[in-house]
Amino acid sequence: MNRRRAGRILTAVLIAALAVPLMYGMVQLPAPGHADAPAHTNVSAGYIERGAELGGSENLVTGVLLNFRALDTFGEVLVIFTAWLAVAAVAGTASNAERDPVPPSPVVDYVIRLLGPFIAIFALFVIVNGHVLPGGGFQGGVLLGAMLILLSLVMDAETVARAVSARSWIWLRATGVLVFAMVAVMGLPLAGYLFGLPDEPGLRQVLTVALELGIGIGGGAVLAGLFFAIAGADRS
Amino acid sequence: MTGSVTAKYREMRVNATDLFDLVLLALLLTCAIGIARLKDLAACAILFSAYSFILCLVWAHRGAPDVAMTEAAVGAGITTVLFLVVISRVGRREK
Amino acid sequence: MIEWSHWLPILAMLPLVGGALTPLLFRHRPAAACFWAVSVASVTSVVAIALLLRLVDSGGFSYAVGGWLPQYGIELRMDEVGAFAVPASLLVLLSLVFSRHYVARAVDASRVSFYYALVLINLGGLNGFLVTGDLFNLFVFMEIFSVSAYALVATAREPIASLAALKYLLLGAASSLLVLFSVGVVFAMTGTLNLEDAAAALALSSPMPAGLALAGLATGFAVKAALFPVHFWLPDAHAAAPAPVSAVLSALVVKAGIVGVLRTLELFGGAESLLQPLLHLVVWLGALGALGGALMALVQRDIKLMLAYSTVANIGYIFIGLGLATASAVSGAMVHAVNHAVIKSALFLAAGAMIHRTGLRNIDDLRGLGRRMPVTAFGMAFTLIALSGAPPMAGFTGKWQIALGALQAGHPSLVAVLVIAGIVVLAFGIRVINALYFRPPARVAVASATEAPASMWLPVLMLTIASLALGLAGTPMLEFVGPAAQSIYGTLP
Repeated sequence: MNRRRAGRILTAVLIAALAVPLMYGMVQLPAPGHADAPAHTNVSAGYIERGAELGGSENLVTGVLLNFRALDTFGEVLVIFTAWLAVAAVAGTASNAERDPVPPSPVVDYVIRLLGPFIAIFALFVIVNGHVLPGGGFQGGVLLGAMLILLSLVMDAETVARAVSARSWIWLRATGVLVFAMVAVMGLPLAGYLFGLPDEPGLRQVLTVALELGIGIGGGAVLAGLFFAIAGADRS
Repeated sequence: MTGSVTAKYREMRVNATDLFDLVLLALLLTCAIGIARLKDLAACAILFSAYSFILCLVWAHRGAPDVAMTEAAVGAGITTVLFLVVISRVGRREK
Repeated sequence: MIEWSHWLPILAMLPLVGGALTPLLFRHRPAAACFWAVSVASVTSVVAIALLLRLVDSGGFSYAVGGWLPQYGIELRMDEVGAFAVPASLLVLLSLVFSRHYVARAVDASRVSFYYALVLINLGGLNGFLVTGDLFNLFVFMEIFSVSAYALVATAREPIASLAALKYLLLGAASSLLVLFSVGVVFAMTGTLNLEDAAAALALSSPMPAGLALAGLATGFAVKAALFPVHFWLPDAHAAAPAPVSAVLSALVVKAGIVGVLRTLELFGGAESLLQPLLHLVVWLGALGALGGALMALVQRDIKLMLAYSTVANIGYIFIGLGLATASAVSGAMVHAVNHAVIKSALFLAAGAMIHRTGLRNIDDLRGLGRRMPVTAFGMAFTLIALSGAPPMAGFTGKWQIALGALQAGHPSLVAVLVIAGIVVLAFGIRVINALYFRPPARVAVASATEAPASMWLPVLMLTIASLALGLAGTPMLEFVGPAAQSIYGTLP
């Protein structure tokens, strides 16, 4: 008992020792939202001034993500795909014997089945409007994934997982990486640089939406895949 | 150095928006302490979900709707489900 | 014909996309997946070598991703530190060749394509990390190589592998969080993510939040590099992983942590009052790591655990060199990073071949294997001597320069540390060599063992030759990294 107490005191001291310099440093940072803070005057000011015009997206966040800092976003898409690879490479091919036999209540079942299509349409809306409204591929993809997971909860994870063949699931999960890589390479002839988007507004719009769709579909399929793999419904 | 820090605080007026932020941050802290202290993993997962939802409000309130949407869907939604699925397979008590 | 600077992003893109395609195309064909991965890694190596030649020919160069000015977009750049992409690509290539027969036994058949995908993605993350000139991009590529590394450790069938991978994951995630937090602090202070811009702005800034960012970045990267007090995830992870993965982790992934530290030093090069205490601390932590790692290696019975602890010791040497901050010590440390990569991957691959053939990993059980597996045993014996730092082999150059630097900086006690650690390394080297060559076989598996297939002994032999060649090429290597060492630290004594 005494040892446990000592351990707790030690933990508290360690946390305090970590927290005090952190807070001390944070307080001295330029205040967020302050007009003179470097975070708002330096690069951000440039984005706000000409970002919409040069980047081709009224939603500046999307402009920064898909155009100015496209390589970072490609990396993030790849991290998401790698996360699925990791889970798939590690997750046991365990049986479903211990699955909870209690079916969900009929009300939950009905409501989720009813909501499913609406969530899907909303997700698609969020994805394709990412360049003008808050949202985009990542947000819409997460909504798609959430819808698939919700459906698996009321139907059966395996039924949902089998709706698409195992082979197609893998291609769907890689959509984000593949579409992004293709658009990146197209930047070479169209904009003169890898990851560049063309200056011609129409074509740029098409490529932006293609990127958002790729990220959305890929992200949604990966999240659903994580769920299937952990729930033991991944028979592929 | 200290002079500029106190000046920064003097500038800070406690108005309704700041108060809202403070309440949210206090709730966040409560959730975090709760997660650290609870032994029931399922309860932890739910508390994590609440934590993410409060964080989502902070983002939305701070003018970052893109981040708020992601936080709501990933933090409050999907990670909770993934936590619960794993807990249903490994048992809900911390040993 | 596309302009040559476009090859810089391709250096990272090629293995990343090639890796993502592996499970799509070769899900149920392990042999084809191996062939594909080897081809992708070969092309990547050619690209890396071409970029290195360009660098030697006409100096460093940079690439504006997407055509945006460096501040607004992401800048990639090729410099002497980025040139580490050449050994990285070549070592991954050899590990992939080695994997062909090894993973057939060590990894489930249904997961082999994932294994190759993760190795390629790991290489892509490393290459991107090495050539990026942007702080947040550095973090993104670090996540790519870290996430793939955690998973690769867990692909092994050893029962301890998942536990080791979990330990690695938790420590790695905490260190990534520290790095991300510090990147945020740097952005809040400077408003830019470009390394050069941020370095210029930080030189003029107030010490306290900058110190916080420096501490966060240094600690985060030190965990990835397994510097002494935060090294404890390494032995388990590197010993439990499949042998070719151990080679990649010990040779390259921990070195990426060192490259991260170098980039941090570059970022804070203008804030000398902050750097000095950190460098002093790093020297003594490095010395403790060098001694402790070597002693721990000496008492191990498992051959892979022994090699893993020796990695901790060598990371210690490199940090001593970086912390001493004299011209010869820093360039010695940078050269030793490359040389240790070659030597340690040869050792892990040789150990993997022995484990593959006999199923034994205890040094005493491997007695008498020298006659049964002549090429592999020769490779291991030769590189063990190289590891101890005997001239003219590869381990010598770096350690000699670090020792010279220690004398210049007025720390003769560090020379004693280096010599003692070297003797300890030689002692466990002799112990293994003695077991391999001068003891009769004690186990049936050894008595009936035969030489590993060519896909295994050939990489070992090539790395063995390289460990001699790099030792002979010590002076040109030092001359190559010299200017980089000067530019990272400002001016060195």
